[in-house]
Amino acid sequence: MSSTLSSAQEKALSFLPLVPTMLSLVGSSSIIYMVFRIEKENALSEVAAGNVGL
Amino acid sequence: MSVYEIMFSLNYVFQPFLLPKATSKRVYAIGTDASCNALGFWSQFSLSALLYNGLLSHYFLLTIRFGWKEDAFAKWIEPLMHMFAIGFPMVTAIAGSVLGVYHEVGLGMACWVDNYPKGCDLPGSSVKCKSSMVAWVFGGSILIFVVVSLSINNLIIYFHVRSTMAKSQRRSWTRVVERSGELASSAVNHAPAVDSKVKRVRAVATQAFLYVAAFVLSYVWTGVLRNLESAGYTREDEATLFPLLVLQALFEPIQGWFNLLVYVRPRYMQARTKFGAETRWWCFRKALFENHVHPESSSRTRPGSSKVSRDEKLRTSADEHNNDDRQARDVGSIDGRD
Repeated sequence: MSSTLSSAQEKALSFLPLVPTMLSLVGSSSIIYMVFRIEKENALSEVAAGNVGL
Repeated sequence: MSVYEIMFSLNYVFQPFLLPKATSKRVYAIGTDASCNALGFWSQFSLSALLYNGLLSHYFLLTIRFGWKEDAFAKWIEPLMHMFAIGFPMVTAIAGSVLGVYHEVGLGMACWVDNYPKGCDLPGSSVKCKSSMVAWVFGGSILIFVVVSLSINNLIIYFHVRSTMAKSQRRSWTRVVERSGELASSAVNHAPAVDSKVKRVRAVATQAFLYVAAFVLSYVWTGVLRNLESAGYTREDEATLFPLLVLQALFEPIQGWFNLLVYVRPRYMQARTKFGAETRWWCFRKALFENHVHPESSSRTRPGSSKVSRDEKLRTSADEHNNDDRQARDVGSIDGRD
């Protein structure tokens, strides 16, 4: 027996991913921010320790 | 990996709206064949995120099981991994777009490999569809690689962690027996070095397993749907599969968030231990922003703290900064590379 989605179901499926997408954008950009911050801090501590010349 | 997660999530949220209006029966379809082609391209290119999940398990395997150093890994393996993770989806995405293999899929709201060559799925068409074969080359190969990598690598890691812990326990007991004539506490005093190694291996392995859990939870629903599609389920069966479609819509675009939770977890746990008086939210912010977040509860609980001299505050802040730097480096070797 065939049963396609109702209009309300389709609308729900269209907008449902918005919230997880926003969370994912926050999560992914936070990871990128953290990775760059940690890299920067490590580089600065290397310089401070005299391992790398400026 | 996070960059591709962003691409993947954004692509997912636009899918219901960019389906070709002329041929699609979806309520919000306002796109054209060109927008469907673009969606297909981005979907294929975003599979890099999937590929990175599999490659991350190889990173954990090399560092945990084979004891590779971060520097050696970054020098020899990481560039190859990036080339593979970005190169394969990019080449296939471009090839698919040029060949025109992207059309609206039969189950769910998306454009990817389907109905190729165009019109092959029409009733009475004499052209044989090649979509299935192309889909296996484009997506199936990536999926198989990722699933096999995750399963085998994590099994190896699991058994390695188990044997490391068993060896450590045996060593502790041997020492206790060997030194039975001495004070029992002297045997215990030798344990921390071994304990610390075991703790580190266990901590890294936990991170590896959590990344896998985040991946599985995000993609399992899509995997089931794509399998059902290849088993003959179509748009006509979508009402029956509605709960599965809801789970897919909720979990597929959210992996970036799960990855953040896994990524900050070691720092969060460290903050919880170090700043027990602070709230969970404060510890989460501390894990994210490190030195930009300062203790709050001490100023609330100790009203006299405002009288502490500026020099003393600076000294305390510098000490805390140095401690945090050291601890961040320790944690950095546990949390994985994104």
